[in-house]
Amino acid sequence: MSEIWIYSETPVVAAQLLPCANNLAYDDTTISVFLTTTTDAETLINSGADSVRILIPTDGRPESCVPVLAEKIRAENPLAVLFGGTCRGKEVAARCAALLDAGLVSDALAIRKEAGCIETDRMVYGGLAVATEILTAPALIVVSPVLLASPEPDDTRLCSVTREDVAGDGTITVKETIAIARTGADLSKADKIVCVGRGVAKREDLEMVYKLAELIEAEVSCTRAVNEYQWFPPESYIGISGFKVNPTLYLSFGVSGQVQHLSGIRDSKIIVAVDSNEKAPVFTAADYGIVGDLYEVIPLLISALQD
Amino acid sequence: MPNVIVCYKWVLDEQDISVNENTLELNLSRAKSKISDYDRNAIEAGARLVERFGGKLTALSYGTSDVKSSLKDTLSRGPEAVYWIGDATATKADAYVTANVLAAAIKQIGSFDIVICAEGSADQYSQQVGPRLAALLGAAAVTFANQLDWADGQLVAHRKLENSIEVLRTDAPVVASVLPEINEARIPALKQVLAAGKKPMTELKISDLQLDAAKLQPKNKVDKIKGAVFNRKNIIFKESNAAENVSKLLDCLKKESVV
Repeated sequence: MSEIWIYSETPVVAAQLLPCANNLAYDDTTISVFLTTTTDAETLINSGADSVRILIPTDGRPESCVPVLAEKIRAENPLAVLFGGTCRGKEVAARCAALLDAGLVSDALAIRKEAGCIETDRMVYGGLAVATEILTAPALIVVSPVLLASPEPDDTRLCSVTREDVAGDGTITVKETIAIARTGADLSKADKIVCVGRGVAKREDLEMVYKLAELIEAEVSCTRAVNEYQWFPPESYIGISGFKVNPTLYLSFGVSGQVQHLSGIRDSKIIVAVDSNEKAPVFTAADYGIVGDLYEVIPLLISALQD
Repeated sequence: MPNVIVCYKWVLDEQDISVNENTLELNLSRAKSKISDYDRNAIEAGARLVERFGGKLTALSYGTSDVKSSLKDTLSRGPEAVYWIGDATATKADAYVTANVLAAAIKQIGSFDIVICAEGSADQYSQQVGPRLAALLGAAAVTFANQLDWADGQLVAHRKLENSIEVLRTDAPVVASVLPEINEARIPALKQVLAAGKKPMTELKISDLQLDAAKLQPKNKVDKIKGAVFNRKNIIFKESNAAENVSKLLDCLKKESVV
């Protein structure tokens, strides 16, 4: 009898980890989900958890559950613990790993059961390469959100729900929480994206880009380099440290294709690149491309699409 | 006035790494090293803290013997002293080993108020060392910070989460990991570069850090590292006639039902 645990302070993220946990499970494996809120516990039950264990941080900070969670991992020795890849989840995972003297894989893109061991893939060198690692127990893994889709709910399932309060140590106090006003589009959900790179010379040139985007019903975004021009809302660029996107169509203009950017678009269905430099790395990552002047290509695309 | 230690990593420049198209093996032999991009922002964050609030900034790095080449560059960016550990164990170190070594080194250096790390390194980007250090040093953990201030003997940090910014206040000691957006790292002026050579550089030996051998053994076994493959169609139109290219492209996109 073995156990696989899931931890996330965000129930919807925890639910997305269930299929992943199922892939690692043996016939007699039970799956327990740890949450830090009672909200949506039912969703987890319906989505396939065998037990839901709720830790309520009395100071309101999910991070305060770290010592208790680490102690439970030590005492009950699960086969693997999957952490949802949110900011809070990453901190909780790393601190638990340190307290347990354990390894931790960050942002795993793929997780496999291989000859009795758990194996993961993750990006290194800014997305240039993929490292495959064989884990030692306890296998602690932060799962990258791009991997995930929510499972189908089944409301006939039953499982146990427990709840305990966890006191923080009082060191950190939260003075204020400020909501981040998102002025730009939610790129992670966009079906089509037009991306501009340094090949676009002036802010005024964005006008034709937006016109094209409107015709194909796409959102407009940029690379990290262009983000520094402040033409777009801050921090709304695509790349390994920015948004990772998976649209049906990604269309870039004047993007050279540094690895950090390419790793943010690799889950796109169709990648199209337009750039004047035939040797730009973006073409190796593209399904279709045009080597040419974007100032010539964009107006041609617009007039063809308007017909 | 805060006593600040900033940790940084001397990494291979990924722009210099090439991938063999057939075997997908990485060729690292031509890669030069650099201070990890994100760590430049971490060093800058430390430098600005002590410039504004007084105190002292010390840098610390763990790497192979090559880390020695980074010392002057680091010192020209603000720290008044640097400690370094150059040891072969770093070649295979994961975040577990790195945090163990850095924590032991910090204990050896002495007391501190704030340890600053970047959110992750440019090569491994594990995003673990900061919060691991907090746990190992028994210090408060502040992650994903995009603003740091020192007020009434406490650290005040803005922590950027997915949809909100938390303003946190904590007593020292604290380990803060900072986002690259926290600042724009300075480009050292000639005067700072020249002054850097006169600042103290201290080597710490791993054998003096009183670490069990087990703490230097990576936990997860790296099975292989291969170039990331983009399995794409790579149909590129490069005629001199742009209109022809555009019409061919649109034909393809219509067949794919994406326009």
